[in-house]
Amino acid sequence: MNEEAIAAFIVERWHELWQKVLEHLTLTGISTGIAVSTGIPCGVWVYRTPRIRGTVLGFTGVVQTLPSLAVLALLLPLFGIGMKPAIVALTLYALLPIVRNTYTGLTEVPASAREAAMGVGFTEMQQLFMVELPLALPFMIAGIRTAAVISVGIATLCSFIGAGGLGDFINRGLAMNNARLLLLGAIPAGVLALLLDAAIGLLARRLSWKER
Amino acid sequence: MIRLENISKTFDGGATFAVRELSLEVAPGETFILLGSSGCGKTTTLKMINRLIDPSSGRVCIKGNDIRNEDPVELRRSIGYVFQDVGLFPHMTVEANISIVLRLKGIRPELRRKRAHELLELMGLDPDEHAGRYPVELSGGQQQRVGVARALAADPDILLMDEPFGAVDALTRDSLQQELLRIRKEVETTIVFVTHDIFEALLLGHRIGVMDNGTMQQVGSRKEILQQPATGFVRDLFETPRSRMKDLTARLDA
Repeated sequence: MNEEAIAAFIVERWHELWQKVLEHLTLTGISTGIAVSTGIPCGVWVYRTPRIRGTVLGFTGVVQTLPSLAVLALLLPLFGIGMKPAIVALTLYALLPIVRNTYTGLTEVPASAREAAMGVGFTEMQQLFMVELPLALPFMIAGIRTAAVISVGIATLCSFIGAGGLGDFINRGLAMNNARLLLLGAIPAGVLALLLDAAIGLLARRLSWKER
Repeated sequence: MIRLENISKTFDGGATFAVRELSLEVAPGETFILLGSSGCGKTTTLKMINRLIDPSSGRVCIKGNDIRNEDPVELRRSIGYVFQDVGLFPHMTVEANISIVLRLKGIRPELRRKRAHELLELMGLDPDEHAGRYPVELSGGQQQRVGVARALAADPDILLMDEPFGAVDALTRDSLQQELLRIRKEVETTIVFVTHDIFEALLLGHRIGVMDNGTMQQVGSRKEILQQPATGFVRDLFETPRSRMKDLTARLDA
């Protein structure tokens, strides 16, 4: 296979590739978004309610150990095929790092800062939003970073349940024993994961008080 | 100004007492020292003054009002507090740290800024140089100066200080103590100061309350405590530095 042939192949598929990348980003974006907006409150809740800590952290941990293909298959009868079950599955996987890191970040807040907040007259909510969450932020962003990268990977499998994305190329490539097609899905997926990782890393550095 | 009436505090339903039947009155403008070794109940007593801890029995009055009837958050905002481990907020600048209580009270940013700079100057720190820094960029002594400035920000009538100079080296401690003596003349505030350092107590206190095992052993001026110790514990406590000096001199002479 010479270089010109590869170039021609990519040009020919360019439009479709772009579409699949967008689908892939949609799957990852929506599920990570849902996981962030539910996972962070959940992490705060777990932190403030020791009673439920074991159950919630345990549940998110168990989800993480289930093979992703099995989860997708299990969700089929409940949500049908297409994007919906895919987003449910991806959200479940993204929850663990976000919930756990929010919780860990809050436990890492220095006791002296917490005591000072109490002593100078913060209300509980002010203490949470002005001291505890800002100090836990680096941990939370690290969790979101992990979640997003995991999502990009698992989203390639969602092609099996008709959710689209770069997995479509991989599946077709496998079915037709066509390595070019397979790599057209696999390489952009890998690049996407790396780019997201770098972008969130950059964001973390901008937002984190530790780096200043 | 502050009156503690027969207060007790137990954390285990009455099996042991952190503070036992303690009564005390602190006059306006006075610096009152709670002196005792660790675990004697002095910090617990201090924390009962701004409701960080509520007494199991007895009552605390400030300016004649029982503080149980006051909102703890409002109460704490009206009382300055300096912590042993400083407790500056690491994600806020020095200026933001100092003016935090004003921010909680909804004071305008320009006024907060002005007050923060005023206090930095009072504490002997150049505002232009330090206001924008983060706590990690300061030395231990500078951090505690900022801690004191934060406590003074809302112009409180009462300042509670919990071993504020316990974690800094001897030289810095000395200069912070001198600083406090100077500031005390400029801002009229009633201070309750917890320490285990006898010299600090004698240097700063108008009156000293010696605590042991949750009970008040003696309350009095330095002179009274040094010349007429009420209990064996008080006598031994103040005898210790004297006998150690003697011991040291003897060793140096030998």
